[in-house]
Amino acid sequence: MAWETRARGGRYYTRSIRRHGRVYREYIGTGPVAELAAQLEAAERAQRQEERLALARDRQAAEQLEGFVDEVDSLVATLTRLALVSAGFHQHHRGAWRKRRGQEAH
Amino acid sequence: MAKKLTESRNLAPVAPWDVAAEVDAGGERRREVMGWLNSVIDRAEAGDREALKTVRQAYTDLPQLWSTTDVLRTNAERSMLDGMLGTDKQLFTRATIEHQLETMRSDLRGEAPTPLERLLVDRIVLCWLECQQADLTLAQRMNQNTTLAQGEYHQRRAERAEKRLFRAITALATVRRLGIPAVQVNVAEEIKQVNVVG
Repeated sequence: MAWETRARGGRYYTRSIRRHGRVYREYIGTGPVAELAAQLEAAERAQRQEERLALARDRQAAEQLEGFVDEVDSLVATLTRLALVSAGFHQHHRGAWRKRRGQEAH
Repeated sequence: MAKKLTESRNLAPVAPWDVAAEVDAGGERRREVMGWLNSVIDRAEAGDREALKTVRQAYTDLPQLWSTTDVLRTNAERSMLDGMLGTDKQLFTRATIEHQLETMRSDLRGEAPTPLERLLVDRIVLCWLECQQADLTLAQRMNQNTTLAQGEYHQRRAERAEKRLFRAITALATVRRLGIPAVQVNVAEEIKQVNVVG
């Protein structure tokens, strides 16, 4: 997309850059120098894409592991609450567990 | 009328004796049933006698829930080790860590742990392993040319793992301090048969 064809002939290599929140088009030129610049930029883009994919894979793997632990964690938390409440305890304002007055242990 | 329907649906989207099977089914249904169970526990805590009856019934009628948790915990531990060391790689290191986990489990369980204590100890061991894995990943990424965002992500993940471990330790300490009477759960080898004594 960075190559522009002009009406009077010839291909110009350009690139868009963002500066102070605005997008500018920079004209690199034509001929072998422009070809070289295009190749370098393509290689950099491919590398950035590869890095993005690697980061996404890394994050996905971490999220999957965390999901496994989270599932066990919430099941055990529910079972613990089940045990405590059925034994006649209640949690005081999400803090300490207290025995409910006048209630027998199960 | 609509309110009544919602209330009745909240009270029993599933029969108590079917909860274990529903939880065993996994996925979205498990989350739904566990959400319902938590809401019943909330009501019981608030003093609803009917809900308390359901909670007590669920506690004694759901041995399968305990074994499901055990299976999930075993799988999570295996996945965590795979994540740290790779599948079928670094077998000596893997055996060493597994031995360390067993020692920790046995030390924390003590001589005669109740089934609930065993479950809570298993959770502590799993959370400890998660902390190690998260710290290791963070250290590895810091040594690589990682982005700031990725570094922060792993930092936050390590902090979450640490908080989870702290909660797990607190829960065991609470249960031991309060001396919850045990419901005996005998889980047969390979978790094929489960017997409960009330």
